[in-house]
Amino acid sequence: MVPGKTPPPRVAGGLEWFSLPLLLVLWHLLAVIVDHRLFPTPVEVVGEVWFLATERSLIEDVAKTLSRAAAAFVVAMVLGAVLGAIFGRVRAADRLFGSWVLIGLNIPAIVVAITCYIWLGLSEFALILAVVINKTPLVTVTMREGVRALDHGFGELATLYRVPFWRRLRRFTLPQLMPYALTAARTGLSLIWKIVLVFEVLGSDGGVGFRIGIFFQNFDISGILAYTMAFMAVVFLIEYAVMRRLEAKVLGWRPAFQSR
Amino acid sequence: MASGVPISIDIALKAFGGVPLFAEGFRLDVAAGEVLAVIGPSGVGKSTLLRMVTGLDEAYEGTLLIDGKPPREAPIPGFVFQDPRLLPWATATENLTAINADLDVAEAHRLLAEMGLEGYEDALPGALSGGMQRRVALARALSVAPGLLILDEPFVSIDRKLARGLAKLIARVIETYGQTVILVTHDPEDAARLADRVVRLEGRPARIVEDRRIETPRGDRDEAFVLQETVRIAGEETP
Repeated sequence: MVPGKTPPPRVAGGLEWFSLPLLLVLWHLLAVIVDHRLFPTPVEVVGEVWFLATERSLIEDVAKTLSRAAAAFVVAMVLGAVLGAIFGRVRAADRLFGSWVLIGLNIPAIVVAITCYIWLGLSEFALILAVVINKTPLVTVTMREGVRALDHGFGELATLYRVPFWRRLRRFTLPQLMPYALTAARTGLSLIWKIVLVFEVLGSDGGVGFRIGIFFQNFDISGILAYTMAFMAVVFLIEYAVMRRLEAKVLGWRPAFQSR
Repeated sequence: MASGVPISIDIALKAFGGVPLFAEGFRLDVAAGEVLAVIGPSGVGKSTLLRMVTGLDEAYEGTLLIDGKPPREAPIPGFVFQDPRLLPWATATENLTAINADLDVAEAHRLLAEMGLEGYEDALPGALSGGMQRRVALARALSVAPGLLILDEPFVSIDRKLARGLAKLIARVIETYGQTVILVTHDPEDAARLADRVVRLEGRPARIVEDRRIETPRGDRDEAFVLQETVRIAGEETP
């Protein structure tokens, strides 16, 4: 190892790998004890996942929900980051629109969804717009705090050495904002999944939420859990294949991250 | 590396919060290649003076010329802050290249090696000691090939032994490159070790109460001389 080189961060501790199996074992034991058709074992649910994926439309539904969530996520992150940067830098804008952000943070998601559906119809656009309206204020607030917390000393350093704007943004500013952007992304993803599913139940032509709504009407708990399990698998894939790697790449220098 | 540049300071008024820090009659000329130590009590305006010289603070009345040009139009100076101010997410090499797009990696490595940091090119600042961080900051300051090197309390918060080692390194850099240097310090020993000329500021608005040369060349200053000179400089401080 190069002298002074920081060892690569240990992203996952050993115990982490026991977490999910432990949950599945507990679930299985509980299902065996309860022994009721409305409480299937994880093995039965996995069988249902396989059936729905091969014989029904599970994959198409998950893909549909994912594409909606992805579109809403990208728009909300970009919009929220821009607004957060403006509100963090321009006090007048923050004062003028601060109340709007507060309303956006607290208005019930269901109200936004219903309003968008009534005004725009049961369309893809209305669904994504409703999710964006729900999510953007949270990103805005997080990024605003990041911009406010920018180290003045580094700004001074860049000014002193006359670092050009884009280089300054890339080398000085963005690395400071990345922890905030990642927090916004992480909380955003979890929030968006939930909102999209609720909105799909409320009105859509397919997707995980839409299908769960149908299973609910039929009291099909295996179908509900199968869709949930499939969706959770995707969430875990994103967490470990994207989020953790991204985190290690952009936050690996932080002492708090290295000690994890 | 550029050779030293002359500096001409003539401040009519520099106020902070309505209180004048520098007023009519504050004049200070620094010859090309001269090593000037500015000493004085905290709050007298030493750091403000540096900020004006670098162009970071332009809210003053008067004339300040670096090599005949206003600070913002003059070549970029090298600046070593009180704190190393290294980008914690960037390696030692990247800390140099971040401020200077024209600096290639090989040159950055050469500068780091010159500061005794060979083998630490890819180290993050968090993995370096305080003294090593200061040396990276010095390498960064030198990476713009400055005609003017500004050192703002470069030895503050490090122990005496490390400070002496760093002072020797700075002395070697000065002898090698011949830049004009402004060293702000509260410690007379730093001035005794490095400066050709010592200026003491006092009062509000600040005025120069002492301006004298140290004739002995830096290379000939042994510990006994540094001690003697330190006592002399300290003895002239207003109690």
